[in-house]
Amino acid sequence: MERAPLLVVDSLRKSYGDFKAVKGVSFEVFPGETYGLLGPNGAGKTTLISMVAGVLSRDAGEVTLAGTQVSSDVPASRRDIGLVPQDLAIYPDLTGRENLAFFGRLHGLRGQGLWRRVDEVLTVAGLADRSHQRVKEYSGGMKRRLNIAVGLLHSPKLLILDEPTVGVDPQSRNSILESVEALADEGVAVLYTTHYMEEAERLCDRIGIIDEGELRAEGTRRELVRLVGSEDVIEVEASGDLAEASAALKGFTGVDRVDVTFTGLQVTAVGGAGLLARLVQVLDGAGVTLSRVDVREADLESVFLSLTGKELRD
Amino acid sequence: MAALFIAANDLRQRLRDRSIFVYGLLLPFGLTFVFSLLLGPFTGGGSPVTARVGLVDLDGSPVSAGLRTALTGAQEAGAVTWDEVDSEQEARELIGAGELDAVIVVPGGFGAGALAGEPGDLHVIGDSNRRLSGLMATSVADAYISRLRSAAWAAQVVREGGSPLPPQLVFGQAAAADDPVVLVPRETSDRQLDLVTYYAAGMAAFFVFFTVQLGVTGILDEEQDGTLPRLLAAPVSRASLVLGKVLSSFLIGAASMSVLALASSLVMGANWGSPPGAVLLILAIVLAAAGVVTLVAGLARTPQAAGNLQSIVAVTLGALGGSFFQLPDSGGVLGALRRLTPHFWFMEGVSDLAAGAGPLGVGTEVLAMLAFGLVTGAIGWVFLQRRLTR
Repeated sequence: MERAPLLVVDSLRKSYGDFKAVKGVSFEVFPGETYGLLGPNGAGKTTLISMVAGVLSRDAGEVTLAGTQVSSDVPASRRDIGLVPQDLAIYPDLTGRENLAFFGRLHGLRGQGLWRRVDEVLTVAGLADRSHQRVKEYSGGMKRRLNIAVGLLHSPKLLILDEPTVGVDPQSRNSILESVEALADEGVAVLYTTHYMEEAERLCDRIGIIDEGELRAEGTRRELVRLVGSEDVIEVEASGDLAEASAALKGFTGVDRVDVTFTGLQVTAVGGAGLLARLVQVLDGAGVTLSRVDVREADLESVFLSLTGKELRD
Repeated sequence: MAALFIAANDLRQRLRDRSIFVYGLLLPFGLTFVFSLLLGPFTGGGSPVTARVGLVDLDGSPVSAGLRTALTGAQEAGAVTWDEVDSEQEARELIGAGELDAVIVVPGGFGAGALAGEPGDLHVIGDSNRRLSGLMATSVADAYISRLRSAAWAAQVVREGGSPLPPQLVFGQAAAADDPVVLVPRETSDRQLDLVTYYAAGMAAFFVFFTVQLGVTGILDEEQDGTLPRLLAAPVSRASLVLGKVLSSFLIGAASMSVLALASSLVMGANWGSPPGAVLLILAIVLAAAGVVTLVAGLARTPQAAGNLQSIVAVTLGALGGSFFQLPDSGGVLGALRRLTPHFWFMEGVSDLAAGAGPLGVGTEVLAMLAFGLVTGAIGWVFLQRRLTR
């Protein structure tokens, strides 16, 4: 039986005057799936997820979560959404525990149930022993972890994280990424925006490439690479008659270019890894001695470049 | 319920960062104290002045006895207290010792001169450091001399007109007649506040327009600090969010004004009149202030802009409404503008209470302030709602 999507985003549009921030974006996120929105700063990611979370009104389109329309006008429609904004959305003069209790109450948690969840997320965030300390005394990483913990407090079905690792030290960043992976394992649907290619590759089951308010493409990493026909590069360190070997390789299907380098050959081809066995066979037949073969696969950076004509970090 | 959580969260933060103490208590209480300290000595601290006057009667005639009647009248009105003094020398000694403020000396032959149609002068001895009391004694003496002159003219007319009435009888009756107009000195005026009460009420009304900022304009702070998206993503209506902020404004304002009213009464002797009436006035002006700050928050783009705008509004309303100094009740455009400020109605209400009115006696003032708050608040509410549902 085909599983149903938890979140359905259909033709969302948003303009500010003449500026079209989001231009008819549609995508779906399934339970337990991590869906990444990959795009440079100013691509429209935050506007898009703000509409998904019901924070912003939309000019057109629909957002449906578990069959219920999400709206900025209907508070109950936002009950199963957890939002972790890019900026720290916590109160520095309150303690970690007080912050969690306040937002927990806004989400309808009360009494022992509230405090049990507060303790649970404090433990998950590694802040249990600092929970009575005011947030302004926390380190940057601790604040980031608390920021995420607030989003998890009411056990949402959909967790939206907007660039949660911006300005975070490597250790805290890794901790955040591990937390997101754990949440997806628990069945939480995660909508994750980032402009870090490595994060998208590590976390996301599917990725939407967004630029200038448009979703240019979506799919798994491999699907995206295949979609744009991005080429792998095979570096060969070898000695022998490289010219003959080069001529032989140029006749292979998928091979775009073969260059003779100081140390050997560089072969540019679609699906380079699949060519590897035949490539070694041809070089061996040509009497070339191999010392090392290295395959550099096409990455999301090159996919993004191919789709948008610009670098991801522009 | 969500509005209560939001208001409680705001209050907790304002208590933590101590801003509520500074804006709500320290500044208004300090300024009230300083103003009453600075201005009090020049006007007797707001208490009515009663001059201690002595009378040296070197004449001993029936005419000089009339001055005693005039002094007794002034004493009954509370303007002076008076005593007989035997000699001018003794009078100077009593003034020097501070036991009297001024002395009226009736010179010998004063009565005879008056009966002859030429009343002479009365001498007033005073202390240059107590000019107000000296002026009061001089006024009593001048008034009596004026009356004698009137009587002398009446007697002159009788004499020259060939009336059968003896001129002395006409003079005596005219001099002893009651004043056609009786001026009754009151304690500055029943509806006029003493300085301490005036500044306590004025400063409280002025600063509450700053204190309430700590609530509603917090929406702009939340927007700037990044917490607003999380509040908007919560399953809470926009109306609850605004209501929570307005509620925290109202509670902060009401608490700070109540403490200020109580403290100024206990510490500085301010007279807020009937406690239930004072509570009504305080709640009404806090609501008016909350309405204004809601409008400001709806119009401003940043917390800084809101702070600037609110300062302009608070100072303008406070100055027009008489928070800093009393403007003449001149009517016209200024009078109409004054009546558009909640400060005016608040000060009017406090004046009524100080003069003995009860809660029902300040109904008009309370309604005026409530109307002001509801109109400005409703407009601000629309702007804020629109802002939160972009």
